[in-house]
Amino acid sequence: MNSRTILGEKVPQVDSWLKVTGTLRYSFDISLPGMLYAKLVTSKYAHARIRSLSFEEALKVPGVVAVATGKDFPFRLGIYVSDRDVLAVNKVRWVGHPVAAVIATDMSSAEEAAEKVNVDYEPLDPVLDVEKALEKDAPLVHEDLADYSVFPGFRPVPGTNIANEFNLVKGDVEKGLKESSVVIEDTFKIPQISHAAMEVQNSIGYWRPDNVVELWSSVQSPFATRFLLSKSLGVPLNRVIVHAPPIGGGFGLKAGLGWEALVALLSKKAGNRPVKLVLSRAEQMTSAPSRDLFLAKVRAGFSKEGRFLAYKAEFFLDAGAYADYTVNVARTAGYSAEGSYEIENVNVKSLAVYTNKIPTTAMRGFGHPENHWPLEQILDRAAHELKMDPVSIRAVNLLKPGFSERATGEKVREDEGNPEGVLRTAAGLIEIDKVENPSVPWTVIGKGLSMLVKAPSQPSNAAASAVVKLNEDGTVDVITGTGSMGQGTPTGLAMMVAEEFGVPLESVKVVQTEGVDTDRSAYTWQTVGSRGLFSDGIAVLRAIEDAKGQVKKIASAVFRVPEDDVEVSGGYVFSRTHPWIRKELREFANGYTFSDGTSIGGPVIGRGSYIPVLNTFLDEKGHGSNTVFHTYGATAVEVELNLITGEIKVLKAVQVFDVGKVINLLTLIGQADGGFIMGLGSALFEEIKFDDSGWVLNPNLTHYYVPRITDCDFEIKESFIETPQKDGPLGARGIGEHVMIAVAPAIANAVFNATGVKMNELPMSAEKVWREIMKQKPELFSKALKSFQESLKEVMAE
Amino acid sequence: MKEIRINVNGVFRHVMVEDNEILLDTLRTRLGITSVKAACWRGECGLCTVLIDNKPMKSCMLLSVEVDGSEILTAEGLYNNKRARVLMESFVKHGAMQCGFCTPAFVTTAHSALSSNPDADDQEISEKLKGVICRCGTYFQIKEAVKSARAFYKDGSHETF
Amino acid sequence: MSFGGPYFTLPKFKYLRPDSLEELLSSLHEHSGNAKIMSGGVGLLAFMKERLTAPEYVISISKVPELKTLQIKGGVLAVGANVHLSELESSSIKNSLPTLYRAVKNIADPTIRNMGTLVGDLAEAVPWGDAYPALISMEAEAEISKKSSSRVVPVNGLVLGLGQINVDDDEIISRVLIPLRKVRGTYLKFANGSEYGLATVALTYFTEEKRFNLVIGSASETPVTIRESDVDWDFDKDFGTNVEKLERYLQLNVNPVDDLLASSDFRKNVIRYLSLQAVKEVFLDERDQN
Repeated sequence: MNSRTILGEKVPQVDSWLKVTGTLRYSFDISLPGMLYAKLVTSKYAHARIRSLSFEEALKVPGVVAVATGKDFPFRLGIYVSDRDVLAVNKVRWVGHPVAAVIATDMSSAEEAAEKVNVDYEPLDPVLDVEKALEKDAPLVHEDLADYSVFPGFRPVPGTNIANEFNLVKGDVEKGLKESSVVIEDTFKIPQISHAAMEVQNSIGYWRPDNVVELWSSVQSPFATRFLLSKSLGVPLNRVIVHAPPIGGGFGLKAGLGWEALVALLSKKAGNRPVKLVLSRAEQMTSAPSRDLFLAKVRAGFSKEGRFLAYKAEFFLDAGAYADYTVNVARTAGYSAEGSYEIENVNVKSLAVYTNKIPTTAMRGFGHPENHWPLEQILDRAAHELKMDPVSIRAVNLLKPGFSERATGEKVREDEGNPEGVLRTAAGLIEIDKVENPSVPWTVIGKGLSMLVKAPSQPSNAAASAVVKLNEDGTVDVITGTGSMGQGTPTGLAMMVAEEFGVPLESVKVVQTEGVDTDRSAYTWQTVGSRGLFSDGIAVLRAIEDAKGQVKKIASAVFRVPEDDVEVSGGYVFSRTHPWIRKELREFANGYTFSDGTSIGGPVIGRGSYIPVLNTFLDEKGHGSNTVFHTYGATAVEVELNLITGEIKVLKAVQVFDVGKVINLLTLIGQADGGFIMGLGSALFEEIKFDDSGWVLNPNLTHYYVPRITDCDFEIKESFIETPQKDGPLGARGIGEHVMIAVAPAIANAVFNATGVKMNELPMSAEKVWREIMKQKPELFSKALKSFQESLKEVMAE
Repeated sequence: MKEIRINVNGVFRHVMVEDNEILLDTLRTRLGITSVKAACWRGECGLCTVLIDNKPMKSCMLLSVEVDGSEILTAEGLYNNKRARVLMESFVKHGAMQCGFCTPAFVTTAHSALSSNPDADDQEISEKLKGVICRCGTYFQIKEAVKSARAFYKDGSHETF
Repeated sequence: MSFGGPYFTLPKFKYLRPDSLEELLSSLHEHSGNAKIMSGGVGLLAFMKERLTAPEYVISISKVPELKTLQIKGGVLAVGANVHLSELESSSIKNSLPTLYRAVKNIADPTIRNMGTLVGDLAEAVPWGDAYPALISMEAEAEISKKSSSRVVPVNGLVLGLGQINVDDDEIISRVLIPLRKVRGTYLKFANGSEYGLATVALTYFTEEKRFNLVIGSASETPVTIRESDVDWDFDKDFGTNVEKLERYLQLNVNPVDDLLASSDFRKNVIRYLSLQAVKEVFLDERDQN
């Protein structure tokens, strides 16, 4: 029997039936006996001192148990910089900053009481613009920045609004620019966007009477949550239990510490009863973090043959009121600024900056949708000036696996992938040289593509582990740490186990499919960065080897053959040289029992561990080696642009990725298509809009537009290349974030290629595109309008 | 409190509800029907969609007292409906879900769309489903899944997926 | 909009559900000023969840049979207050009242249309909503009833601004009356980055009377109506000349607002585009008919 039959197949996720029937239980659905409900009271000012806070009237509302304020919880939190309070203490730093929490027996009472909490504010000057925040006399969002604890590798600057500064230097960028035949210089901007995960953040905190802190929460990384809670609350790790059911969408929002510390403390305040907090959509979009606003000022130089000689860039990430992951997003956007290319001279400065706006956090792509936005457009613009085509200019500059070095000094391994293969496949599938004529003369059709590459952005000790247990009937339980947010990792891991033991998929259960529980799961650093299948996969495969070794040891005694003669595969254990000596795997699951009753061995428990190999910190020039794999990809599109209204419609989409090894083709296609749609949203529609006082104008799903099924009226093609990753599990790499990184630049390039109009700002809404057409190529508009008007006159031709 | 008489997923029930009680909460909290989700509480996201007398409606924008006398169907109940079961199987086989939070709403709405018009073309199906948001972006797979199940709703022929 | 909303819960109220129109109007009279009518409930619940309204009584019309009627009588289509938007998506309405049909098809999504009513959409008083401009364009009337009397007024002018409707506390819009004349019509909506349209256009052409109403919603606080006489449209002249006149009129007389959805200059651009598309659709078809 061919043992490698399941890999590469289309396999539905193992929890699919729970999902279609709605019986999969999310944190959202969990309720505990005696549970109380919390409602937040939030700031109406972007920047203000809290003069006083009173809640006597709130306490009188029947059902109210307690009202908590910042004074109750003088803790500071933060995943990298402890810049975040549990509830505002002396001042508020953004509109939406939680200042109090009402705890009541039911939601109705909690909401009624929340309206009766009175806060007296003394408004302060807010700083609402990332560049203004860097000026000398800008109001400081965090005056006490010097007192905050900081994770090694991050450099906030006290006395300023700088949360982190990262620099990447290679060669001499000024010299490179001087030698360039073509210099592209421009400023690019991406607004804040909301993750818009359908399951809002929700947490149940239970500070038990035995001082064990138990959490049920919609989180991606329960071990990180546990660690941060332990640190900030001063409770030992094994007295914090985090239950992380499958989540209704994460996308980075739920990667670190959300509301867990707050609910745990509220539980304590409420007399050690469980307290549940559920955010409303408006609160989710204003009190909880968004993605950073990204401003990039870049200068790029090319030789006349199209070689990328110099890239000088300043990235300003508006981190909002607390920086959370954004200090690392800024760092990551900096060290991966050159994308898929080898650039001779590089100077990138990337800053995470505090402002009095919504805090920001990680979002799918972690700095790469941001840094690819300018980079990939620059290539098309340079190509245009050099009279080259977009594919050739990329081919000239692509990193060459086995030869190139990144600007960080990291060598590009030969097995890293096949970027040229990815590029040409994408160009071929979209037929980039063949541009159709539009159906009506006031529209134009354009094609564009964008490369992308990303590695997990993780510390050098981002470990994973796994345990494999054989059950008495030969079924296999796998215990890992990676959670389920729809990306299909548990199913992928189950497929690997089924493949390696040679048992049917149904015999394998990855316990964490239905949730991760820090007491009962194997440690993994975080479910982020597209690292799950890779890191947990390696740990799982090692656990399988370990399990097999234990089986072989017992079988050696049973068969009376040397250990190295024993094979475990296809659900059987047998002698390689004497294959008729064999027994079913299940006979060894619990040790082995001879016919006279004697038992030897014991339960088979395989264990595997993984930690990144030869990863270092990055120094002040950004040099070091800090990645475990890179996945290359490309997005290509064909769009129709209405030159009168500026509306962009996608006609065709192509997604190509070098995944190393296709494990589950169904979930890969789902990721490629789903990522395209998410990228489409931020490319064309999504934007958190603020007014001059820092209020969010569109904290709802009416005016913050997330793509719907009617926006997918186009053809999409996916292609997966397999350049095996030597140290990857079965050769595979991750893909969860890569699928949305290149969508916006691909569309912008399509617009540029068709019209010459440069789109520097997202989203490319109809109005923004129209305005750029009027500014850069007004003749296109007037010609289009005239042809439209002419078409009306033709109607009357009699 | 008022008493409402409803049939929920095939079971007749008398339920005491407040005047201002929202059907979403009655279903989830009083009756434990958690397949009905919510993401916006404002009628935008569609995750709270249930079938009321076979018509899809967003339960977060309905008062429980208003549905007195109605027949309510949710994904849990649709599992026992022969045609909906085939639709669910199609969703599973086509991978028409990722995180799963919107899946019951899509299954419920699609079942109603195919039941009322099995001849619906692609455009009509999309139009009928546009009230539900999938942030994971499984729309392409959902369209395929619904199309594949169409034959069964039309004449009982079961496409081997 | 209240910043903290939407709330998960509704404020407390007493729910009344009369069985007849008479009982409804009596109840309304009794609690006038402290009561809100619930037809579909979508609009009312939305306002209540934002705490923009918190009436003592909510009076449901769901069991009032007189308000459920959807019928043609005396050359008029009468749409009762409890007729859901989805009931208007029939092929007969598509043929006889194309402007209304297309406008309804643009309201929210089919699921919401099972819940919301035409009258409810009107009563929400969102001037750039889809129903209002279409009804104005079709010269619809509204029957407004109270305990002892009723009156019929043009729908045009009923909505004075956002949330402000020309109906007293003790009155309800019991029916919308749309005259059935020989018409061609269309409704176009340009939405981008929002569920709402940033520009909407309703055009109804009365073929026997050779006149039209081009109503532009989403441009300002109240819709703008343009009649053939306003632009000096001459049905005997060539289309091109008439279109030019329309464009000039739009340029001079329609100055849209700046808001969350769009800036005024972009809006103006799209309004022109939609208006020209609308006349093309309506008159092109008309020509084909001949």
